[in-house]
Amino acid sequence: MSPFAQALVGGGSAMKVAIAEDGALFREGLVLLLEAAGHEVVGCVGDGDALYGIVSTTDVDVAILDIRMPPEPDGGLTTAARIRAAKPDVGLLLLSHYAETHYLMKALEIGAERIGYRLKERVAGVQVLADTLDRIAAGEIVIEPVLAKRLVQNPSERTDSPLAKLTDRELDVLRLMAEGRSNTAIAKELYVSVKVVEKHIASVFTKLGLPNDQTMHHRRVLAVLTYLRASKIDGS
Amino acid sequence: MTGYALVFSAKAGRLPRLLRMPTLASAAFRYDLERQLHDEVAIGMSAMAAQLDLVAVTASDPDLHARIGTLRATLCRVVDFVRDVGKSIYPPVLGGADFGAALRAVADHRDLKLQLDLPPYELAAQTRARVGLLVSDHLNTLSPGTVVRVRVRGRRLVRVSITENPQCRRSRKRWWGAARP
Repeated sequence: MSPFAQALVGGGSAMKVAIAEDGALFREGLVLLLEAAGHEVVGCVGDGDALYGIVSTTDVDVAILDIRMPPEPDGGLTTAARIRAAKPDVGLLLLSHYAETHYLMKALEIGAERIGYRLKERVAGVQVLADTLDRIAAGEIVIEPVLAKRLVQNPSERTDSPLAKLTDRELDVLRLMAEGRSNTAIAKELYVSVKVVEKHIASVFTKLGLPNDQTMHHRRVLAVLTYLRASKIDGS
Repeated sequence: MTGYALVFSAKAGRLPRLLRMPTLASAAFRYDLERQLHDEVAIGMSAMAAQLDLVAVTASDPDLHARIGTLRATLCRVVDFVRDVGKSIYPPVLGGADFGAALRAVADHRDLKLQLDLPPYELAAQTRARVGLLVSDHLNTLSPGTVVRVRVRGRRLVRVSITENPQCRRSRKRWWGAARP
């Protein structure tokens, strides 16, 4: 293992990763990046069915899937749902060339934890990829920051939107939650204490009318989903 | 089979004019073109970004490291540009099964406030593609913040009505289209 990989793995543990990506050149690049980050690539295939076969028979920590791959049209999403149903402990990182709310919603419908959705060219770096995998393995939802920012930068102007009840600070907290940040990370970003963040989050949950019988983690996801559904696009 | 769209502009007080609905061949061509941009150009550049990062992490020269960083940032901007072109040619979500989601995605990127009134049944795949392209092409011409209502009806003869700023009578515009599947 290279000194650079050792430094990276020092922050997290080496993982067993399986890849499904139909672009051979990018697939090879991903393998090299993962190896440079000190992770073990246990399978590298070009379609969702083959990946499902690997995950079914091999010990895998995280599966990386291209959204648009065979089986067409969105084989990555269908395969991710199959893997989550069969092996709920396997982390899922969905990659795409497009940052689409539709894909994000589909990803969050597949799972409320250990899942990520990122742009290919943005995640194509050793440090970024290693950080993304660490966060997924830790149970977080990792959303492409470009998408999270775009969604929250222009909050709904509709007065009947649930977001209309939130203060600017609560919207800031919700935006950072949508980016998959932990309470500690949000506190650091906003220069406030973790307790203040928790207070804002509790207020967001109350104002959005999220049920009390959900676990804290699911309420976070529901809050983000509420935001996405109440964003500036209307219709069914 | 050809399709057409009539354009009404109450504000300008003009007679309706015809818009051409994409033919089946043109829809297929645009789909293939977007796929090529995605599979060959964008993915190739993303692979280059990965390779550049690998070179950067092994580079001991800080100047070289910085230059590679600049190059990667430039590459990401080019990918952004390719992405925008690809979305204009053929909205990626339109390739899937969810017609409404595809139009919402276009509106999302254009910062439009979209109200969709779609039939409760699914349109045939080819009709979905043609109608989707007609509507998305029009959405791409609107200014950010525009409120736009899209109504789709009909099975054998599909009627499309697009109304901009439906709450404002003076700036109302109606767009009508029809596509026989």
